[in-house]
Amino acid sequence: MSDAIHCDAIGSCSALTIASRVRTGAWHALDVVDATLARIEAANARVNAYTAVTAERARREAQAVDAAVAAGRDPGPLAGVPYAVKNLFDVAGLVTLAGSRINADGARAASDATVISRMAAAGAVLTGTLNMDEYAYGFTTENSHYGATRNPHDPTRTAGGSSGGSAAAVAAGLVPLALGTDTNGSMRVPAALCGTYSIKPTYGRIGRGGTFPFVPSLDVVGMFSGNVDDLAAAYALMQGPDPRDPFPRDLALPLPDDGLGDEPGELRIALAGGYFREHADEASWSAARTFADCLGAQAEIDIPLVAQARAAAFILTAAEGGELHLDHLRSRPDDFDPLIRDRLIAGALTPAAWVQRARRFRRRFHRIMVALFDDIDVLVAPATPVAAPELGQETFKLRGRALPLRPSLGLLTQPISFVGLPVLTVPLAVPGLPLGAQLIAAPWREDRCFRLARSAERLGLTRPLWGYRGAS
Amino acid sequence: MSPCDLQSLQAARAYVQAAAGLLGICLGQERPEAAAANMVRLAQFAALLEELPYDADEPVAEQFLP
Repeated sequence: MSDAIHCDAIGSCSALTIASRVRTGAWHALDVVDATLARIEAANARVNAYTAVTAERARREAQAVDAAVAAGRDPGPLAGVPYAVKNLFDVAGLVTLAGSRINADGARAASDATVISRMAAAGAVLTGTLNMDEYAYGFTTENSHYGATRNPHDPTRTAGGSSGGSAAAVAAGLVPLALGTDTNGSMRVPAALCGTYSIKPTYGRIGRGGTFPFVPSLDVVGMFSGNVDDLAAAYALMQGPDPRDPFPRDLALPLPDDGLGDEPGELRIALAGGYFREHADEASWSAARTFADCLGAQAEIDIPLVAQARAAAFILTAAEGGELHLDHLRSRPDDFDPLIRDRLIAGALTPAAWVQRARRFRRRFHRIMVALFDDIDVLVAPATPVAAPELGQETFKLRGRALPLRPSLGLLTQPISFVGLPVLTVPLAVPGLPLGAQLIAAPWREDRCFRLARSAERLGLTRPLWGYRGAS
Repeated sequence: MSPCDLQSLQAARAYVQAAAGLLGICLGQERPEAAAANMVRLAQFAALLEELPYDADEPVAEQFLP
């Protein structure tokens, strides 16, 4: 019999700590799951992160892990680690909601998404599905069908979106790992506002099979965690080709554990200024600048045409999203969240010439960004213009200007994902509400993001999630 | 359709109503206004891109991969 595990204690355990204890038999995976389910039962109402809890499946997966340990078989590197997924991932036996009412009328998924299969093969235990903006079109997870997800640091504030449930579940200590997706900032914004880590890999890096799309030419799968090692462990397991997604290739590319050191060392670091300075408030900008300075950033770079990159991303998003939902815009317009429906309608009607111009510009901006990485290894930028706004807030002030909140929380993330670059978001060591920084690298060089993030974590430049949990 | 043409709410409303009719989207009573406001924002972004020099040689046909 393993030691009893209290549900509050499990909320402050990292994924790798749990896996280590389960693998050695010190803890039973079933006890971990029961403690996790008790914590979800006790704490989820405060944040509204979960839309479904898969208790039966979780206990079944945990029992399989315990059986493997008892039989002397390798239970996998994430043995017994509880996790949850944004509700646009297929989970066998559940309807894939994608945050919508319309999808709720659809058939149950026959099989798991590719990345869920990989988590299961690694011994991780699925505990449920998580709230999001309808069809991932938003940055606040104020979902008119399933309620708003609240920020664990202040439940009157947004958790960010569209993967708001994923970030909130990790930040509230419900699970140490959660999967999400990022199109224009849907992982980076909630990670920053909730004070978690997230990795948005290079576009095409991780298979999207069995996920409900938003903007296929921008969508990527990624994950949230409370520390760098957990993130690296989960990320490493996600690699490889996916028969349901044409893009991931079986590339022999550096993974986080290749050549990771404890110091920034020889990494050439720069801070993104210009547009990024102008579109962040003083607190967000100062936090990112201090972070970069402490890591030895050698320059502040004014990248050209960033505003145009955001504009082009906005157009592509609207057009692809609108086309994807055209049939339901015709047949079930009243079943959409009204704000999202009206954005999708405009997107569906976007003149083709504008879309083609945006695509044409994408190549140009890609060359600009790739050339930048001839001289630097990691670019640091603030992740959001401001800290978490109040729920229901319509606008926010940025350097004296009032901006619409919902589309503008992605001001600093959209230009980067527009050309598919990998970004690791770190929680910054600031008092009060969380703020995040984006660590951006050249395509396929996620390893550099991980290396800098781990250095920053060890230097005390990031915000410890466990400390927050202990204080709550 | 030039982006400049759609940066007024009135013009955007007319465009949205006509285009939605062609595509078979029923806008009802309130949606023309909201969809038009979103179209104005898209037009502003499109205008920003049209300020750049046009590069006819830029390939756009194949799938983007970084």
